[in-house]
Amino acid sequence: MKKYLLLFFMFLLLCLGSFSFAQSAADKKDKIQAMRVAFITNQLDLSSKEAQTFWPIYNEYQDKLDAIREARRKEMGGENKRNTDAMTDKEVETMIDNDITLRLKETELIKNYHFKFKSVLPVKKVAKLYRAEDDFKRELLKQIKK
Amino acid sequence: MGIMPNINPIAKKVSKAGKTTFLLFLLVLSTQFSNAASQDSLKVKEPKHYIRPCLYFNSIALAERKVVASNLDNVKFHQSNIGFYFPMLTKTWHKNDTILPSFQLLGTLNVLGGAVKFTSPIDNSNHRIKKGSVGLRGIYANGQRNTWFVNVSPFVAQENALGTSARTRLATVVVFNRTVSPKFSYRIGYSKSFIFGNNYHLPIIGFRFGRLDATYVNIQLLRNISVNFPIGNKCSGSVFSKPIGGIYMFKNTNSSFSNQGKVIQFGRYDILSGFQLNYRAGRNFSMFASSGISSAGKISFIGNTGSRNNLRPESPFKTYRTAPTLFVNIGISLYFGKSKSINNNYQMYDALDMNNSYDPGDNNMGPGSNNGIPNPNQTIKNLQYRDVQDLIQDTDLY
Repeated sequence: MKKYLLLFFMFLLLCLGSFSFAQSAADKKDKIQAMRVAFITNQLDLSSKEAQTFWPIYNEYQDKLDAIREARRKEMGGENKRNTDAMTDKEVETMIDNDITLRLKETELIKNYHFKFKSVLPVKKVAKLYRAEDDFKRELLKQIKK
Repeated sequence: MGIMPNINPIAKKVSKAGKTTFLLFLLVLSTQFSNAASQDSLKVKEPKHYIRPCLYFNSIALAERKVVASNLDNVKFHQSNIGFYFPMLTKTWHKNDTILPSFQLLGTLNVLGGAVKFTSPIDNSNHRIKKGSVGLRGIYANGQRNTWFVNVSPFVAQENALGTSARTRLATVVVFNRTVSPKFSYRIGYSKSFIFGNNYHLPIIGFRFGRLDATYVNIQLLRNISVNFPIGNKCSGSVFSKPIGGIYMFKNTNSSFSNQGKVIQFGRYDILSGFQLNYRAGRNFSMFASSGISSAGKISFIGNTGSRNNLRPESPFKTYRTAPTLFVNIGISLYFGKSKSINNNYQMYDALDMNNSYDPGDNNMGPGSNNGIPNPNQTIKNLQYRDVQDLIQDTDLY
Protein backbone atom coordinates (compact mmCIF):
# COMPACT_ATOMS: atom_id res chain seq x y z
CA MET A 1 0.00 0.00 0.00
CA LYS A 2 2.83 2.38 0.90
CA LYS A 3 4.34 1.74 -2.51
CA TYR A 4 1.11 2.69 -4.25
CA LEU A 5 0.59 5.75 -2.12
CA LEU A 6 4.08 6.90 -3.04
CA LEU A 7 3.40 6.27 -6.73
CA PHE A 8 0.09 8.06 -6.37
CA PHE A 9 1.67 11.14 -4.83
CA MET A 10 4.40 11.25 -7.46
CA PHE A 11 1.73 11.08 -10.10
CA LEU A 12 -0.27 13.75 -8.30
CA LEU A 13 2.68 16.14 -8.29
CA LEU A 14 3.18 15.52 -12.00
CA CYS A 15 -0.48 16.23 -12.68
CA LEU A 16 -0.52 19.38 -10.56
CA GLY A 17 2.53 20.65 -12.41
CA SER A 18 0.98 20.12 -15.81
CA PHE A 19 -2.42 21.39 -14.67
CA SER A 20 -1.06 24.73 -13.55
CA PHE A 21 -0.26 25.62 -17.18
CA ALA A 22 -3.65 24.80 -18.63
CA GLN A 23 -5.72 25.77 -15.61
CA SER A 24 -5.76 29.52 -15.92
CA ALA A 25 -7.08 29.76 -19.53
CA ALA A 26 -9.67 27.04 -18.99
CA ASP A 27 -10.79 28.60 -15.72
CA LYS A 28 -11.25 31.97 -17.44
CA LYS A 29 -13.33 30.30 -20.11
CA ASP A 30 -15.52 28.66 -17.47
CA LYS A 31 -15.92 31.96 -15.68
CA ILE A 32 -16.93 33.76 -18.87
CA GLN A 33 -19.44 31.03 -19.60
CA ALA A 34 -20.91 31.31 -16.09
CA MET A 35 -21.07 35.10 -16.43
CA ARG A 36 -22.79 34.81 -19.80
CA VAL A 37 -25.35 32.39 -18.38
CA ALA A 38 -26.02 34.71 -15.44
CA PHE A 39 -26.39 37.67 -17.84
CA ILE A 40 -28.81 35.81 -20.11
CA THR A 41 -30.77 34.49 -17.12
CA ASN A 42 -31.33 38.08 -15.96
CA GLN A 43 -32.37 39.29 -19.39
CA LEU A 44 -34.73 36.47 -20.41
CA ASP A 45 -36.83 36.07 -17.29
CA LEU A 46 -37.79 32.49 -18.12
CA SER A 47 -40.58 30.59 -16.41
CA SER A 48 -39.46 27.41 -14.62
CA LYS A 49 -40.93 25.26 -17.40
CA GLU A 50 -39.17 27.30 -20.10
CA ALA A 51 -35.89 27.20 -18.17
CA GLN A 52 -36.10 23.44 -17.76
CA THR A 53 -36.22 22.83 -21.52
CA PHE A 54 -34.22 25.82 -22.71
CA TRP A 55 -30.98 25.49 -20.73
CA PRO A 56 -30.04 21.92 -21.73
CA ILE A 57 -30.51 22.86 -25.39
CA TYR A 58 -28.63 26.13 -25.01
CA ASN A 59 -25.76 24.31 -23.23
CA GLU A 60 -25.59 21.77 -26.03
CA TYR A 61 -25.59 24.59 -28.61
CA GLN A 62 -22.76 26.38 -26.83
CA ASP A 63 -20.68 23.19 -26.60
CA LYS A 64 -21.04 22.58 -30.33
CA LEU A 65 -20.36 26.22 -31.19
CA ASP A 66 -17.25 26.29 -28.97
CA ALA A 67 -15.96 23.11 -30.59
CA ILE A 68 -16.33 24.55 -34.11
CA ARG A 69 -14.71 27.85 -33.15
CA GLU A 70 -11.85 26.08 -31.43
CA ALA A 71 -11.31 23.93 -34.52
CA ARG A 72 -11.33 27.07 -36.67
CA ARG A 73 -8.80 28.76 -34.47
CA LYS A 74 -6.55 25.72 -34.58
CA GLU A 75 -6.93 25.48 -38.34
CA MET A 76 -5.73 29.05 -38.76
CA GLY A 77 -2.79 28.50 -36.41
CA GLY A 78 -4.13 29.89 -33.16
CA GLU A 79 -2.79 33.17 -31.87
CA ASN A 80 0.29 33.01 -34.05
CA LYS A 81 -1.39 33.11 -37.43
CA ARG A 82 0.22 30.82 -39.95
CA ASN A 83 2.71 32.48 -42.27
CA THR A 84 1.15 31.76 -45.65
CA ASP A 85 4.30 32.94 -47.45
CA ALA A 86 6.20 30.02 -45.96
CA MET A 87 3.51 27.51 -46.94
CA THR A 88 2.96 25.75 -50.25
CA ASP A 89 -0.07 26.70 -52.35
CA LYS A 90 -1.60 23.31 -51.58
CA GLU A 91 -1.25 23.85 -47.82
CA VAL A 92 -2.73 27.32 -48.01
CA GLU A 93 -5.61 26.07 -50.13
CA THR A 94 -6.39 23.27 -47.63
CA MET A 95 -6.24 25.72 -44.75
CA ILE A 96 -8.64 28.28 -46.24
CA ASP A 97 -10.97 25.60 -47.61
CA ASN A 98 -11.16 24.04 -44.15
CA ASP A 99 -11.84 27.44 -42.66
CA ILE A 100 -14.76 27.99 -45.01
CA THR A 101 -16.08 24.49 -44.27
CA LEU A 102 -16.03 25.26 -40.56
CA ARG A 103 -17.71 28.62 -41.07
CA LEU A 104 -20.48 26.86 -43.00
CA LYS A 105 -20.79 24.30 -40.20
CA GLU A 106 -21.14 27.14 -37.72
CA THR A 107 -23.87 28.81 -39.76
CA GLU A 108 -25.70 25.50 -40.17
CA LEU A 109 -25.52 24.95 -36.40
CA ILE A 110 -26.86 28.42 -35.65
CA LYS A 111 -29.74 27.80 -38.07
CA ASN A 112 -30.60 24.39 -36.54
CA TYR A 113 -30.61 25.68 -33.01
CA HIS A 114 -32.56 28.76 -33.99
CA PHE A 115 -35.44 26.37 -34.79
CA LYS A 116 -34.93 24.49 -31.52
CA PHE A 117 -34.99 27.73 -29.52
CA LYS A 118 -38.20 28.75 -31.28
CA SER A 119 -39.80 25.46 -30.31
CA VAL A 120 -39.06 25.89 -26.59
CA LEU A 121 -39.39 29.68 -26.18
CA PRO A 122 -41.82 32.33 -27.43
CA VAL A 123 -40.29 34.09 -30.43
CA LYS A 124 -39.91 37.39 -28.52
CA LYS A 125 -37.77 35.62 -25.94
CA VAL A 126 -35.63 34.12 -28.70
CA ALA A 127 -35.06 37.65 -30.00
CA LYS A 128 -34.22 38.73 -26.44
CA LEU A 129 -31.73 35.86 -26.22
CA TYR A 130 -29.85 37.02 -29.30
CA ARG A 131 -29.91 40.60 -28.02
CA ALA A 132 -28.62 39.43 -24.63
CA GLU A 133 -25.77 37.50 -26.25
CA ASP A 134 -24.78 40.62 -28.19
CA ASP A 135 -25.05 42.84 -25.13
CA PHE A 136 -22.90 40.45 -23.14
CA LYS A 137 -20.18 40.54 -25.80
CA ARG A 138 -20.29 44.32 -25.77
CA GLU A 139 -19.91 44.26 -21.99
CA LEU A 140 -16.84 42.08 -22.36
CA LEU A 141 -15.38 44.37 -25.03
CA LYS A 142 -15.93 47.32 -22.70
CA GLN A 143 -14.05 45.51 -19.97
CA ILE A 144 -11.14 44.77 -22.32
CA LYS A 145 -10.97 48.44 -23.40
CA LYS A 146 -10.70 49.46 -19.73
CA MET B 1 1.00 0.81 6.48
CA GLY B 2 3.80 -1.68 6.05
CA ILE B 3 4.95 -3.08 2.74
CA MET B 4 3.26 -6.43 3.32
CA PRO B 5 5.85 -8.31 5.32
CA ASN B 6 4.07 -11.63 4.99
CA ILE B 7 2.35 -11.83 1.65
CA ASN B 8 -0.27 -14.53 1.61
CA PRO B 9 -2.98 -15.30 -0.97
CA ILE B 10 -5.54 -12.82 0.37
CA ALA B 11 -3.17 -10.00 0.99
CA LYS B 12 -1.90 -10.70 -2.52
CA LYS B 13 -5.42 -10.49 -3.85
CA VAL B 14 -6.03 -7.08 -2.24
CA SER B 15 -2.59 -5.94 -3.31
CA LYS B 16 -3.42 -7.14 -6.82
CA ALA B 17 -6.62 -5.07 -6.66
CA GLY B 18 -4.50 -2.04 -5.77
CA LYS B 19 -2.12 -2.70 -8.63
CA THR B 20 -4.97 -3.28 -11.08
CA THR B 21 -6.67 -0.09 -9.88
CA PHE B 22 -3.52 1.92 -10.42
CA LEU B 23 -2.82 0.41 -13.86
CA LEU B 24 -6.43 0.84 -15.01
CA PHE B 25 -6.32 4.41 -13.82
CA LEU B 26 -3.15 5.09 -15.83
CA LEU B 27 -4.68 3.41 -18.87
CA VAL B 28 -7.86 5.51 -18.72
CA LEU B 29 -5.82 8.64 -18.22
CA SER B 30 -3.42 7.94 -21.06
CA THR B 31 -6.42 7.35 -23.33
CA GLN B 32 -7.80 10.73 -22.34
CA PHE B 33 -4.51 12.49 -23.05
CA SER B 34 -3.78 10.62 -26.29
CA ASN B 35 -7.29 11.46 -27.53
CA ALA B 36 -6.60 15.10 -26.93
CA ALA B 37 -3.21 14.93 -28.58
CA SER B 38 -4.28 13.09 -31.71
CA GLN B 39 -7.15 15.44 -32.45
CA ASP B 40 -7.41 16.19 -36.13
CA SER B 41 -7.56 19.97 -36.56
CA LEU B 42 -10.66 19.88 -38.77
CA LYS B 43 -12.39 17.29 -36.70
CA VAL B 44 -14.73 19.22 -34.48
CA LYS B 45 -14.44 17.64 -31.08
CA GLU B 46 -17.15 18.30 -28.53
CA PRO B 47 -16.99 17.10 -24.95
CA LYS B 48 -18.54 13.64 -24.74
CA HIS B 49 -19.48 13.30 -21.11
CA TYR B 50 -21.28 15.23 -18.38
CA ILE B 51 -19.04 13.81 -15.68
CA ARG B 52 -15.27 14.18 -15.86
CA PRO B 53 -12.88 11.49 -14.64
CA CYS B 54 -12.04 12.20 -11.03
CA LEU B 55 -9.25 10.86 -8.90
CA TYR B 56 -9.54 11.59 -5.21
CA PHE B 57 -7.68 10.86 -2.06
CA ASN B 58 -8.92 11.26 1.47
CA SER B 59 -7.61 10.33 4.84
CA ILE B 60 -9.29 10.25 8.23
CA ALA B 61 -7.85 9.76 11.69
CA LEU B 62 -9.82 9.25 14.87
CA ALA B 63 -8.09 9.88 18.18
CA GLU B 64 -7.69 7.04 20.65
CA ARG B 65 -10.82 6.42 22.71
CA LYS B 66 -12.18 4.05 25.27
CA VAL B 67 -14.08 0.94 24.36
CA VAL B 68 -17.03 1.22 26.74
CA ALA B 69 -17.71 -1.62 29.22
CA SER B 70 -15.00 -3.82 27.82
CA ASN B 71 -11.64 -5.21 28.80
CA LEU B 72 -10.30 -3.99 25.45
CA ASP B 73 -9.50 -0.59 27.05
CA ASN B 74 -8.73 1.67 24.06
CA VAL B 75 -9.02 1.64 20.29
CA LYS B 76 -7.54 3.94 17.66
CA PHE B 77 -8.45 4.06 14.00
CA HIS B 78 -7.29 5.69 10.78
CA GLN B 79 -7.87 5.03 7.11
CA SER B 80 -6.80 6.42 3.73
CA ASN B 81 -8.73 6.01 0.59
CA ILE B 82 -7.93 6.45 -3.11
CA GLY B 83 -10.93 6.48 -5.39
CA PHE B 84 -11.39 7.00 -9.08
CA TYR B 85 -14.44 7.24 -11.28
CA PHE B 86 -14.48 7.74 -15.00
CA PRO B 87 -17.19 7.97 -17.66
CA MET B 88 -17.26 5.00 -20.00
CA LEU B 89 -20.30 5.92 -22.03
CA THR B 90 -22.60 8.91 -22.26
CA LYS B 91 -25.59 8.80 -24.52
CA THR B 92 -27.71 11.89 -25.12
CA TRP B 93 -30.63 12.05 -27.49
CA HIS B 94 -33.40 14.45 -28.44
CA LYS B 95 -36.93 13.54 -27.50
CA ASN B 96 -39.58 15.53 -29.36
CA ASP B 97 -36.68 17.79 -30.44
CA THR B 98 -36.84 19.73 -27.17
CA ILE B 99 -36.05 17.31 -24.33
CA LEU B 100 -32.58 15.94 -23.78
CA PRO B 101 -32.57 12.65 -21.86
CA SER B 102 -29.16 11.20 -21.09
CA PHE B 103 -27.64 7.99 -19.89
CA GLN B 104 -24.20 7.75 -18.35
CA LEU B 105 -22.22 4.67 -17.51
CA LEU B 106 -19.23 5.11 -15.22
CA GLY B 107 -16.52 2.81 -13.96
CA THR B 108 -15.37 3.12 -10.37
CA LEU B 109 -12.27 1.97 -8.56
CA ASN B 110 -11.38 2.26 -4.92
CA VAL B 111 -8.55 1.17 -2.67
CA LEU B 112 -8.64 1.69 1.07
CA GLY B 113 -5.93 1.05 3.62
CA GLY B 114 -6.32 1.55 7.33
CA ALA B 115 -5.23 0.56 10.81
CA VAL B 116 -7.13 -0.47 13.95
CA LYS B 117 -5.03 -0.42 17.09
CA PHE B 118 -6.15 -1.95 20.39
CA THR B 119 -4.31 -1.31 23.63
CA SER B 120 -5.21 -3.64 26.47
CA PRO B 121 -3.65 -6.57 28.34
CA ILE B 122 -5.81 -9.06 26.44
CA ASP B 123 -5.25 -7.54 23.02
CA ASN B 124 -2.42 -5.20 22.19
CA SER B 125 -2.43 -5.45 18.44
CA ASN B 126 -2.33 -3.24 15.40
CA HIS B 127 -4.46 -4.58 12.57
CA ARG B 128 -3.72 -3.31 9.08
CA ILE B 129 -6.80 -3.57 6.95
CA LYS B 130 -7.28 -3.26 3.22
CA LYS B 131 -10.23 -3.03 0.95
CA GLY B 132 -10.40 -2.93 -2.83
CA SER B 133 -13.40 -2.48 -5.08
CA VAL B 134 -14.14 -2.20 -8.77
CA GLY B 135 -17.64 -1.13 -9.69
CA LEU B 136 -20.06 0.23 -12.22
CA ARG B 137 -22.66 2.92 -12.00
CA GLY B 138 -25.37 4.13 -14.30
CA ILE B 139 -27.21 7.44 -14.24
CA TYR B 140 -30.29 8.03 -16.36
CA ALA B 141 -31.80 11.51 -16.48
CA ASN B 142 -35.04 11.79 -18.42
CA GLY B 143 -34.34 15.38 -19.46
CA GLN B 144 -37.15 16.73 -17.30
CA ARG B 145 -37.28 15.97 -13.57
CA ASN B 146 -36.58 12.32 -12.94
CA THR B 147 -33.15 10.77 -12.47
CA TRP B 148 -32.26 7.17 -11.66
CA PHE B 149 -28.93 6.19 -10.16
CA VAL B 150 -27.61 2.64 -9.81
CA ASN B 151 -24.27 1.69 -8.34
CA VAL B 152 -22.79 -1.78 -7.96
CA SER B 153 -19.51 -2.19 -6.08
CA PRO B 154 -18.18 -5.65 -5.37
CA PHE B 155 -15.29 -5.43 -2.93
CA VAL B 156 -12.75 -7.48 -1.05
CA ALA B 157 -11.92 -6.38 2.50
CA GLN B 158 -9.06 -8.02 4.30
CA GLU B 159 -6.39 -7.73 6.91
CA ASN B 160 -2.89 -7.42 5.54
CA ALA B 161 -1.28 -10.60 6.85
CA LEU B 162 -3.89 -13.29 7.13
CA GLY B 163 -4.10 -16.89 6.03
CA THR B 164 -7.70 -17.37 4.95
CA SER B 165 -9.61 -17.26 1.72
CA ALA B 166 -10.82 -13.82 0.71
CA ARG B 167 -14.41 -12.76 1.13
CA THR B 168 -15.96 -10.82 -1.66
CA ARG B 169 -18.97 -8.72 -0.78
CA LEU B 170 -21.31 -6.59 -2.77
CA ALA B 171 -22.49 -3.06 -2.03
CA THR B 172 -25.29 -1.63 -4.13
CA VAL B 173 -27.28 1.57 -4.35
CA VAL B 174 -30.46 2.23 -6.33
CA VAL B 175 -31.90 5.72 -6.05
CA PHE B 176 -34.65 7.67 -7.72
CA ASN B 177 -34.35 11.45 -7.61
CA ARG B 178 -37.03 13.93 -8.54
CA THR B 179 -35.92 17.50 -9.10
CA VAL B 180 -39.18 19.20 -8.22
CA SER B 181 -37.64 22.65 -8.67
CA PRO B 182 -34.13 24.13 -8.55
CA LYS B 183 -34.70 24.62 -4.82
CA PHE B 184 -36.18 21.27 -3.91
CA SER B 185 -35.62 17.64 -4.74
CA TYR B 186 -36.39 14.36 -3.04
CA ARG B 187 -34.88 10.90 -3.27
CA ILE B 188 -36.07 7.44 -2.48
CA GLY B 189 -34.10 4.29 -2.88
CA TYR B 190 -32.44 1.25 -1.47
CA SER B 191 -28.87 0.39 -0.57
CA LYS B 192 -27.07 -2.73 0.47
CA SER B 193 -24.32 -1.21 2.47
CA PHE B 194 -21.66 -2.00 5.05
CA ILE B 195 -21.14 1.53 6.38
CA PHE B 196 -22.80 0.54 9.66
CA GLY B 197 -20.30 -2.26 10.18
CA ASN B 198 -22.43 -5.12 8.93
CA ASN B 199 -24.41 -6.23 5.92
CA TYR B 200 -27.54 -4.04 6.03
CA HIS B 201 -30.34 -3.37 3.61
CA LEU B 202 -31.08 0.28 4.12
CA PRO B 203 -33.74 2.55 2.74
CA ILE B 204 -32.71 5.85 1.22
CA ILE B 205 -34.97 8.80 1.87
CA GLY B 206 -33.64 12.20 1.02
CA PHE B 207 -34.67 15.82 0.72
CA ARG B 208 -32.77 18.83 -0.50
CA PHE B 209 -33.92 22.35 0.26
CA GLY B 210 -32.15 25.19 -1.53
CA ARG B 211 -30.19 25.38 -4.79
CA LEU B 212 -27.18 23.10 -5.17
CA ASP B 213 -25.12 26.05 -6.47
CA ALA B 214 -26.03 28.20 -3.46
CA THR B 215 -26.92 27.52 0.18
CA TYR B 216 -28.79 24.29 0.71
CA VAL B 217 -29.81 21.75 3.32
CA ASN B 218 -29.31 18.14 2.34
CA ILE B 219 -31.02 15.43 4.36
CA GLN B 220 -30.08 12.09 2.87
CA LEU B 221 -31.07 9.39 5.34
CA LEU B 222 -29.23 7.24 6.38
CA ARG B 223 -26.09 8.60 4.78
CA ASN B 224 -25.69 12.26 5.33
CA ILE B 225 -27.30 15.33 6.81
CA SER B 226 -25.63 18.60 5.93
CA VAL B 227 -26.05 22.33 5.63
CA ASN B 228 -23.91 23.66 2.78
CA PHE B 229 -23.07 27.24 1.98
CA PRO B 230 -20.70 29.11 -0.35
CA ILE B 231 -17.90 31.17 1.21
CA GLY B 232 -16.74 33.59 -1.47
CA ASN B 233 -15.98 32.41 -5.00
CA LYS B 234 -13.65 29.51 -4.30
CA CYS B 235 -14.68 28.10 -0.95
CA SER B 236 -17.71 26.49 0.53
CA GLY B 237 -18.51 25.22 3.97
CA SER B 238 -20.61 22.44 5.30
CA VAL B 239 -21.88 21.40 8.71
CA PHE B 240 -22.59 17.71 8.53
CA SER B 241 -23.34 14.45 10.26
CA LYS B 242 -22.69 11.10 8.58
CA PRO B 243 -21.76 7.51 9.34
CA ILE B 244 -18.55 5.85 8.15
CA GLY B 245 -17.63 2.24 8.69
CA GLY B 246 -17.08 -1.18 7.24
CA ILE B 247 -16.52 -4.85 7.86
CA TYR B 248 -13.15 -6.58 7.59
CA MET B 249 -11.53 -9.95 8.11
CA PHE B 250 -9.42 -9.86 11.25
CA LYS B 251 -6.64 -11.95 12.69
CA ASN B 252 -7.92 -13.05 16.10
CA THR B 253 -5.43 -11.52 18.52
CA ASN B 254 -7.80 -11.26 21.45
CA SER B 255 -7.08 -13.93 24.07
CA SER B 256 -10.66 -13.83 25.38
CA PHE B 257 -12.01 -14.71 21.91
CA SER B 258 -9.75 -17.75 21.52
CA ASN B 259 -12.74 -20.08 21.05
CA GLN B 260 -13.64 -18.21 17.81
CA GLY B 261 -10.73 -19.52 15.75
CA LYS B 262 -7.75 -17.78 14.20
CA VAL B 263 -9.76 -15.51 11.94
CA ILE B 264 -12.77 -13.42 12.87
CA GLN B 265 -14.60 -10.51 11.29
CA PHE B 266 -14.49 -6.99 12.57
CA GLY B 267 -17.23 -4.47 11.99
CA ARG B 268 -17.14 -0.84 12.98
CA TYR B 269 -18.88 2.44 12.44
CA ASP B 270 -18.71 6.00 13.69
CA ILE B 271 -21.18 8.80 13.36
CA LEU B 272 -19.14 11.85 12.43
CA SER B 273 -20.44 15.34 13.06
CA GLY B 274 -18.42 18.38 12.21
CA PHE B 275 -17.51 21.18 9.86
CA GLN B 276 -16.01 20.80 6.41
CA LEU B 277 -14.25 23.49 4.42
CA ASN B 278 -14.00 22.94 0.67
CA TYR B 279 -11.59 24.84 -1.54
CA ARG B 280 -12.13 24.78 -5.28
CA ALA B 281 -8.78 25.88 -6.67
CA GLY B 282 -9.95 25.66 -10.26
CA ARG B 283 -11.83 23.43 -12.65
CA ASN B 284 -9.30 20.61 -12.23
CA PHE B 285 -8.46 20.63 -8.57
CA SER B 286 -10.28 20.86 -5.27
CA MET B 287 -9.55 19.95 -1.69
CA PHE B 288 -11.28 19.80 1.67
CA ALA B 289 -10.56 19.52 5.34
CA SER B 290 -13.04 18.62 8.02
CA SER B 291 -12.99 18.07 11.71
CA GLY B 292 -15.41 17.39 14.50
CA ILE B 293 -16.51 14.73 16.88
CA SER B 294 -17.25 11.09 16.36
CA SER B 295 -20.08 9.93 18.55
CA ALA B 296 -22.24 6.82 18.75
CA GLY B 297 -19.41 4.64 17.50
CA LYS B 298 -19.64 0.89 17.71
CA ILE B 299 -17.30 -2.03 17.12
CA SER B 300 -18.35 -5.63 16.76
CA PHE B 301 -16.65 -8.99 16.43
CA ILE B 302 -18.25 -11.61 14.24
CA GLY B 303 -17.34 -15.27 13.95
CA ASN B 304 -15.93 -16.52 10.69
CA THR B 305 -17.16 -20.08 10.97
CA GLY B 306 -20.36 -21.53 9.57
CA SER B 307 -22.18 -20.67 6.38
CA ARG B 308 -22.72 -17.08 5.38
CA ASN B 309 -25.85 -15.56 3.97
CA ASN B 310 -25.13 -12.59 1.75
CA LEU B 311 -28.63 -11.26 2.20
CA ARG B 312 -28.74 -11.00 5.99
CA PRO B 313 -26.65 -9.14 8.54
CA GLU B 314 -24.23 -11.41 10.37
CA SER B 315 -24.60 -11.95 14.10
CA PRO B 316 -21.74 -10.56 16.16
CA PHE B 317 -20.60 -12.49 19.22
CA LYS B 318 -19.45 -9.25 20.88
CA THR B 319 -20.48 -5.66 20.34
CA TYR B 320 -19.11 -2.65 22.20
CA ARG B 321 -19.80 1.05 22.11
CA THR B 322 -16.85 3.38 21.72
CA ALA B 323 -16.51 6.65 23.58
CA PRO B 324 -16.81 9.94 21.64
CA THR B 325 -13.58 11.23 20.14
CA LEU B 326 -12.22 13.82 17.75
CA PHE B 327 -11.56 13.21 14.08
CA VAL B 328 -9.67 14.97 11.30
CA ASN B 329 -10.39 14.31 7.66
CA ILE B 330 -8.58 15.76 4.64
CA GLY B 331 -9.05 15.13 0.95
CA ILE B 332 -7.98 16.24 -2.50
CA SER B 333 -9.61 15.66 -5.86
CA LEU B 334 -8.28 15.94 -9.39
CA TYR B 335 -10.53 16.21 -12.43
CA PHE B 336 -9.45 15.47 -15.97
CA GLY B 337 -10.55 16.55 -19.43
CA LYS B 338 -13.59 18.53 -20.52
CA SER B 339 -17.25 17.95 -19.88
CA LYS B 340 -20.51 18.95 -21.47
CA SER B 341 -21.96 22.20 -20.12
CA ILE B 342 -24.70 21.91 -17.53
CA ASN B 343 -25.31 25.57 -16.69
CA ASN B 344 -28.71 26.06 -15.03
CA ASN B 345 -29.56 22.41 -15.75
CA TYR B 346 -30.71 21.52 -12.25
CA GLN B 347 -31.50 17.93 -13.08
CA MET B 348 -27.86 17.39 -14.02
CA TYR B 349 -26.81 19.20 -10.84
CA ASP B 350 -28.75 16.54 -8.92
CA ALA B 351 -27.17 13.78 -11.05
CA LEU B 352 -23.69 15.12 -10.19
CA ASP B 353 -24.63 15.39 -6.53
CA MET B 354 -25.77 11.75 -6.50
CA ASN B 355 -22.55 10.72 -8.18
CA ASN B 356 -20.60 12.39 -5.37
CA SER B 357 -22.90 11.30 -2.54
CA TYR B 358 -22.65 7.55 -3.17
CA ASP B 359 -18.91 6.94 -3.24
CA PRO B 360 -17.33 4.11 -5.25
CA GLY B 361 -16.07 2.07 -2.30
CA ASP B 362 -19.10 2.11 0.02
CA ASN B 363 -17.05 4.05 2.58
CA ASN B 364 -19.30 7.13 2.59
CA MET B 365 -16.17 9.16 1.94
CA GLY B 366 -16.17 10.61 -1.56
CA PRO B 367 -14.46 13.49 -3.31
CA GLY B 368 -15.92 16.11 -0.97
CA SER B 369 -17.60 18.94 -2.82
CA ASN B 370 -19.59 19.06 -6.05
CA ASN B 371 -16.81 20.52 -8.19
CA GLY B 372 -18.72 19.96 -11.45
CA ILE B 373 -21.60 22.24 -10.54
CA PRO B 374 -20.88 25.70 -11.98
CA ASN B 375 -20.50 28.60 -9.59
CA PRO B 376 -23.05 31.22 -10.70
CA ASN B 377 -21.36 34.16 -8.98
CA GLN B 378 -18.26 34.62 -11.07
CA THR B 379 -16.22 37.73 -11.67
CA ILE B 380 -13.19 38.02 -13.86
CA LYS B 381 -10.06 40.10 -13.62
CA ASN B 382 -7.54 41.00 -16.34
CA LEU B 383 -9.82 40.12 -19.22
CA GLN B 384 -7.87 39.97 -22.48
CA TYR B 385 -8.77 39.63 -26.14
CA ARG B 386 -7.63 36.01 -26.36
CA ASP B 387 -10.04 35.09 -23.56
CA VAL B 388 -13.05 36.21 -25.57
CA GLN B 389 -11.93 35.72 -29.18
CA ASP B 390 -14.35 32.84 -29.70
CA LEU B 391 -17.25 35.07 -28.75
CA ILE B 392 -16.39 38.07 -30.89
CA GLN B 393 -17.55 38.43 -34.47
CA ASP B 394 -16.50 41.16 -36.94
CA THR B 395 -19.89 42.82 -36.62
CA ASP B 396 -19.45 43.31 -32.88
CA LEU B 397 -16.78 45.90 -33.55
CA TYR B 398 -19.09 48.25 -35.47
